[in-house]
Amino acid sequence: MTNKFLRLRLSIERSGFSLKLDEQLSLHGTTAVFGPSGSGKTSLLRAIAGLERHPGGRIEFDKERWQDDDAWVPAHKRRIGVVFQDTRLFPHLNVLGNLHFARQFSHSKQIDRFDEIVQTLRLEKLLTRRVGALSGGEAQRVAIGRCLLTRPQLLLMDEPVSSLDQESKREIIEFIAATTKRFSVPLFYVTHDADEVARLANTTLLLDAGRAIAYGSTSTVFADNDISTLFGTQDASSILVAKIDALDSGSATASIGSQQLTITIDDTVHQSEIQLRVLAKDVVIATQPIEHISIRNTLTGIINTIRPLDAGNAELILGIEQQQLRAHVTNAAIAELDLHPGATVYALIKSVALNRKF
Amino acid sequence: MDSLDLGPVWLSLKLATVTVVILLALATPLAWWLAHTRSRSRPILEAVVAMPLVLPPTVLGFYLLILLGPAGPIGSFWVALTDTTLTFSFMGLVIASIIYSLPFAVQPLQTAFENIGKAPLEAAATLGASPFQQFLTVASPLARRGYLSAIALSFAHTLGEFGVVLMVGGNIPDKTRVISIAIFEDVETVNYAQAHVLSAGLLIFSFVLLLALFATNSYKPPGRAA
Repeated sequence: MTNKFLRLRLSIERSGFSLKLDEQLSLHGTTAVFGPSGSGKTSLLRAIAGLERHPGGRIEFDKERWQDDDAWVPAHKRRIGVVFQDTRLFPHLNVLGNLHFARQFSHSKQIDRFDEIVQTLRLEKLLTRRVGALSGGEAQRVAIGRCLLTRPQLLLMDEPVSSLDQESKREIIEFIAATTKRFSVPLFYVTHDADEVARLANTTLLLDAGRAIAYGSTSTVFADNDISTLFGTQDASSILVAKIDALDSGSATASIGSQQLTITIDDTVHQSEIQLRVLAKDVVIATQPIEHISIRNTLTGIINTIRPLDAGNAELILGIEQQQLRAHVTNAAIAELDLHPGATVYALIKSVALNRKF
Repeated sequence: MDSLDLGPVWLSLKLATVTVVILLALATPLAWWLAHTRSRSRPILEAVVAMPLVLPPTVLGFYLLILLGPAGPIGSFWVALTDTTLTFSFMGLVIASIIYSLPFAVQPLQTAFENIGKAPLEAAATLGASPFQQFLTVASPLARRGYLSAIALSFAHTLGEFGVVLMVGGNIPDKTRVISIAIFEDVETVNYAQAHVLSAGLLIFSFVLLLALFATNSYKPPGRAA
């Protein structure tokens, strides 16, 4: 399979807001469009969808020219599916009516995936319901199903779970992961939640103040960029990629290189690889292996860098089997343990901290 | 007393029906444009549309008489085209009624389209619906209540017009003698019995129409509640 790309060059200037991008984005798997609010994520998505037209922009989807100086493909001809934060189901139609609406505009009449989509998103019991009678999570499931029915060549989602409660969030994220995999549609997923990024996206475009800060594989983007400068120190974190070796009712043995981890995980997981987001404040550093301790996970690594954070604290960046792990420690600890670049240390992570949030 | 002359009743109903049908065809694109445009000329057009609400019917009738008269720009064109005059004809009444009732059709539709907003139309677009299909399958069903209001109000308003009709159409039986004119003449000729019947009929009809309109909650913004 040759990789396809979305090439875009955008320059949007509004009072108090600007977005300037010149990127070639892979259409393989799920790409997180990640950044704090006001960074231009939604504007980017709307431009890709064809809902906003900005003069001078260029958008090319694989070999299709969607926008340049003398071409403009309107939204309804781009064969995209958009899931909005506010679902935007049609209130004058019931659930089935909403699905049929999409079906009648399906880009491929020959193949009808109605039953498959209804089943994957478990919409069977909702079909006759009024749109107003759906819970937030149910409505978002219908919205996802509705846009899949048009057989889009690209899915765009704009913070689809940010207005949902934690339980519905989990559920919808699982549905999104399952459907994009099953129907193998590339997805651009707008979010400001790093946990959603870790769960869904193999690739990340990091945006801040209308500029692309980084683009690449999610773990690399998180290794090379300190997202706490965008979101606050609490969010300082790393994303570790681990291979799942064995699943055992609710927990899994995973490995990073030659090192092992035990993680709590959903039984329904079908991945061979998993991205684990570890908060820098959840990592404890020791200079010797520690026994007789409740923490089950210890990773051995080498200190690459020590970076002062504020008056009393610093951040260590550890190299662990070609991957990076951030850890926050106090300056006192650094002095007492004689932590310095090149030193071998043991990073202790509580199992709970390794729980996937989604 | 002469037997009741129903001619004016049928003429009024015919005038109102023809007017409403043409009005909807004109008011829909106009209201759509007003609801969605960012053009600076919008307030000007809105003011023009609302003029019949504030102008005395005689003023409107006076200008229409000049415009539609055989010497006027529209009237002379009509004469050249059909060899008949627009003034003092049914066709002239239709044109006058359309202008007179325009705000009653445009304003409810504009409000309805504004309440729908861009969001459902964008959703429809991303699902593959062309702008015309978006209007047909999303905007117009969501604007259903706006349409009901527009139809009921412009129908009732056309039935009730007097001044403009009198100036443009005069009082020609079966051509321009609508209910309101007939009532006026009945009163002038002290035919109170007939005036009573027509007046009460118009009163009751208008009340029932408006009652039906308000009872269906037409003035709630469409959308969420549906």
